Amino acid sequence: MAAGSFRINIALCTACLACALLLTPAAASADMPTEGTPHAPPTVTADLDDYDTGNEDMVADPLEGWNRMWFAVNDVLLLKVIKPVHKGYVAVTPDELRSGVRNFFHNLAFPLRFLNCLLQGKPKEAGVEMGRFIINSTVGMAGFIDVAKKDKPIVEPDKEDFGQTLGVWGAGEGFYIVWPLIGPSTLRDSVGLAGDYFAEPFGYMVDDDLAYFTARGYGEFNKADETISSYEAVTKSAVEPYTSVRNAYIQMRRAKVAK
Amino acid sequence: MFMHTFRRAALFAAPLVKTLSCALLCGLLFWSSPALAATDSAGAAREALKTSVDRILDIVKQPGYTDPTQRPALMDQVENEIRRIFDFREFSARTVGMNWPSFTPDQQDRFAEAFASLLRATYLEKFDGYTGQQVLFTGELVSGKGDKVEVQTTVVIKDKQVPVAYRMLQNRQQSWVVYDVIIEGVSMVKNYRTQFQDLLEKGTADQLIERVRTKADEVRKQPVQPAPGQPGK
Repeated sequence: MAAGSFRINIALCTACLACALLLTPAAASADMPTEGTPHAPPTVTADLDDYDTGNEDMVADPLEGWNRMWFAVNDVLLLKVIKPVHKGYVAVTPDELRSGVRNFFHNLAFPLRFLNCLLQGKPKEAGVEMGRFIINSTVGMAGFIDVAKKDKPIVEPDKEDFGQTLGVWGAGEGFYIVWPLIGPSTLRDSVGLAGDYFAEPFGYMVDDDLAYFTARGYGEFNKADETISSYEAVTKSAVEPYTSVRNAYIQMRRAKVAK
Repeated sequence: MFMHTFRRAALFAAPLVKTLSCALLCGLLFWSSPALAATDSAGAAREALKTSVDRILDIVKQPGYTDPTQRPALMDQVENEIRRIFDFREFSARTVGMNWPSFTPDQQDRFAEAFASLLRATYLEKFDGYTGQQVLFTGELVSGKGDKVEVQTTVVIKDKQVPVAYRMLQNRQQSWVVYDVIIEGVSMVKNYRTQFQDLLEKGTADQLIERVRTKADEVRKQPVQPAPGQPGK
């Protein structure tokens, strides 16, 4: 496909955005997870004592010097450059635009999540992803409005990616690595990221590298607030931020793979 | 592809500070009948947690909480409630892990206090008031011996849902107390333990205590700021 199709995309996006702004999405109310009945028998498990005193098993970090350097660079980029710019962006754009852009990119990456649900043997989640994609792509103006959110049975499942799939298949993490801009990762998750890149249809829709990275960069920048607040949440209370982020990343990825 | 993984890395579904503040500071009772299974560990632990959460919620919901002159007194009340349900000594012992027995009793006390102060500074003092968060109690996990319970909750903040689990055990007074908080699969105890392990490899217990104190002071000096760009809906 040529760059021309991207321009058509932009026109389409603009049209959809306009609609999204006019029709203020009513999908603001939270979906309540069902409460466990108060007297339901609790699950009995044997391994609640798994970390009484033992030292935490951590991922290998042979590149610690390199990693710490990029951790420091990313910290400055995120908090001193991206954060103030994003603040300005929030000030001049309506909430609906930002959530619309976020939903749009999320919806577009559906095949990636769908494929990984299947690869991990989660047909139910795959079905939910499919349902959300169909509803949001049609009624939801090509994904700008998350209509499916209002529909209880199709609440958004966890985002599956190739890194998790490799983990489910039994691949070890390898070692910890901090990439410039991308941030914390492991050898396995880095391979996964490459897989994600190929499974995301956006790369095939846009031929021109510059256009691709600009659009993707904008998509990520648009939701930088999520990155910033989670990063700050971890580092703010940390006595040793580098170790804290490394451990939080590993724990979180392990929890996702285990799920 | 910017920061793609950053977001993942940093616990991303929701801000930890907000979550923990909310988790500690609010909750809603959805049923009012007392637990029939008061004898079983799960019921007892859940009721203990829920009682504390409700009390704390009552305090922060008072209109005076947003008034800077009344707030310090109310904040102290909240802290008392937190200290009742949260065992800082147990929490400290577990974060220091294998090195804890090598601390002198005096060092253990000072460490527990410094750590409590850091947590107060980061979570309680930055909590700017109740904004409608809800805590739903979704289930329990009980250890085989019945001496430990994980009470699972979901904190609802606007349209986000964050799983928060509380690990609880019975202290010497037979009350159920929290010794770890697990947010989105990330255990606070485990997270702090890797940090303290690192620092104890390079330095002494006293240096670690000093470091925790310094961090608490640092956090206190930072202005309270609303979470960046919390989406309006």
